[in-house]
Amino acid sequence: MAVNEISSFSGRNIWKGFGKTSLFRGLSITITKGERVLLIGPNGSGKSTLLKILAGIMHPEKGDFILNGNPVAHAPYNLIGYMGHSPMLYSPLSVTENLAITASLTNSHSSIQSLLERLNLSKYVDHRISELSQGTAFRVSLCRAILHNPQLLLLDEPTASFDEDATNRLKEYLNHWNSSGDRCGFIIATHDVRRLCSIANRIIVLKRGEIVKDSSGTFDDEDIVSLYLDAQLT
Amino acid sequence: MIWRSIITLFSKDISIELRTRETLSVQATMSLILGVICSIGAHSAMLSPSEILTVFPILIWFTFLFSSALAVAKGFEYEKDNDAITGIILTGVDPSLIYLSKVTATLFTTILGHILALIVFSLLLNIGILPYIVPFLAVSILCAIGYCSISCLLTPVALSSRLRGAMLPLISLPLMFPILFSAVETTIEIFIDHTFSWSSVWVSILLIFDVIYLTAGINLFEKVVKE
Amino acid sequence: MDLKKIFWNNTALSRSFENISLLVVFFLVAYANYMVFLAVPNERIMGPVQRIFYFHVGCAVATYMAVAFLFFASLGYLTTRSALMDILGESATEIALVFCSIVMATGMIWGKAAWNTAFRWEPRLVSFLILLVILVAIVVLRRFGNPQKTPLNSAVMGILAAINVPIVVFSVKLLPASSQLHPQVVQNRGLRDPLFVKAMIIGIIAMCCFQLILLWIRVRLGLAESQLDELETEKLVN
Repeated sequence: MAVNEISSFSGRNIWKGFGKTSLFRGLSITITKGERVLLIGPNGSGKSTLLKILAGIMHPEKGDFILNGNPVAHAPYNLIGYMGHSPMLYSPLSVTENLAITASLTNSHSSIQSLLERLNLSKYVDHRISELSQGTAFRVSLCRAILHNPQLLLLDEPTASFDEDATNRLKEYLNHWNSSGDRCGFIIATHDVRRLCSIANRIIVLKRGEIVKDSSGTFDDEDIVSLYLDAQLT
Repeated sequence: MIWRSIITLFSKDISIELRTRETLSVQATMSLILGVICSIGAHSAMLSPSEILTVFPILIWFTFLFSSALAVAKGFEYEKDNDAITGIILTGVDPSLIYLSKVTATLFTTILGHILALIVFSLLLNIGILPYIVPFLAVSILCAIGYCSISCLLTPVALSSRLRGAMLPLISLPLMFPILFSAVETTIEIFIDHTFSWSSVWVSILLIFDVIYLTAGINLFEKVVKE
Repeated sequence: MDLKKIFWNNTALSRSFENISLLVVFFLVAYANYMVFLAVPNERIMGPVQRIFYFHVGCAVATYMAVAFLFFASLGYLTTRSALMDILGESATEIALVFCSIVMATGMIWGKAAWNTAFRWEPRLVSFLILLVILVAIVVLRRFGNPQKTPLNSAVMGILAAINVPIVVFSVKLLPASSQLHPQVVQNRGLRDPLFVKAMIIGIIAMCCFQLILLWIRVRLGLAESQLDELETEKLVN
């Protein structure tokens, strides 16, 4: 039976290694409805790898996935929006053409034009991806990730190439994204904790493939510093 | 939904090709260059018309092999560039549909390049191809299907290695031997022996390998494109 | 049942098993040598050079066995992503390459001596040549591939290589008799003397057992390397 919403999604007992290095040794993570998660940690802690595994584009060596209490191979692609370190767009094609491909394959009825307007990308409609700056290409990539109205957003360093305006638009979009409560939530892997902490209600600190801190609530600068210090000292 | 996905994916590949014209250009140029080199060689060796006809089967398939190898690698460049293929996988479309659309698009460019090579050889080596065009094109399509099936499966494997494009011929050509062998033998039957028939054992071998490689590609493509 | 532990743990049982197996294979190969060089008479037409046939056929069967191991290990890896399956696949590839090379070399020696030509473009020889090149390609892929994706990519190539073998062998049978230049000794009932048959069977058994013990040792070596990597990683982490 097709699943249309995510109330909870878990990755349990995940094992993943790269060559000689074993990164995840039995890591488990759960996201439930209404959670807005920031995933933070030093370089090499496994943030990107974890998001790829949850998105279903990387296979763990071992691990189970539970969607709404039922075991699944991975979360259904139509309910996940993922944005990674690459724009995942065809450089010879235009912005509209790329998004039209996604819309057609996901059977999405969202208006590409209105989405582009919301993220201030209207003037790039007919530009090829190869003609765009890196930051703009990533904003288009964000459009690709949210075009099909996903239930769960997995964003890997979304603001890495964004300027202040783009970051603020993203924050505004994410703030309103689940305001009606009909979507699950998001997990954002980021180093930009200070700028994004205001939209999060849960922060997970990852270090060397292990969750060393998992705090819920609202966060200010002092909380962030304390979280980071705790993570460094453990 | 499946048909819409196939049409979308195929249109995507054709749009990219029509916009860049890179794959066709590379294939056409390579076919022309190899055709000219082989023709120069044949004339320099002062081969008689019957001797030229004897070596023609191997020359045409040698040209096909090397020009198509470049075309297939080029065709996948935009999938790996910006990790675009992961964007397609994330839409939830069946990876086997991605594979089939890729094979179909590559088949078009490969056949067009092959026809160009055939014209070059026909003009430069003075080989009459028109009486045999139908069976030869049919055999070419069968050979190209096998070639594109195995190449589209192994190109992601090659591009993720340290040798990148150089790895592709190393891993795909050995698997292509039975298909190429059969293509050469069938071409000999068509142009030289004039004993070609659709029930020929070489046609059977081509068909068997086409089915095997297409089936393998459909089942294994997902595993080679995901991490 | 932890297969990894059975293979690797240096228990008295595993040591005894290995020593006994080595002894058995040693005696089998020695017996095969005795049969081939001392027991069987010279073949009437080809003379002493025909004796290479017994090792040639044995190595051919051992090659097919190794390719079968490669196929099941590749399938096993794609299904389970088990490191042991990857090690088994890698070992089977190398062993198959060695035995395939021996088949080609012995075939060429025999061909040159018996028919004054090292290689003829006939289906059975070409099918083995194709297999040899495919196995070399897999070894190159393992050597130069992306280290993170090598096990998966090698498993895919292993399946394709293994599929090729029966198809090509089957295709050979479709070809007309006139193109079958490889001696069809067994099918044409060329082994009249019972000693010839016995020597061939002993040769096949000896080569197959030799192949199995080589595979066992190579897999244990692979597991040892993997264990060493894990220990090094733990040392780095701690």
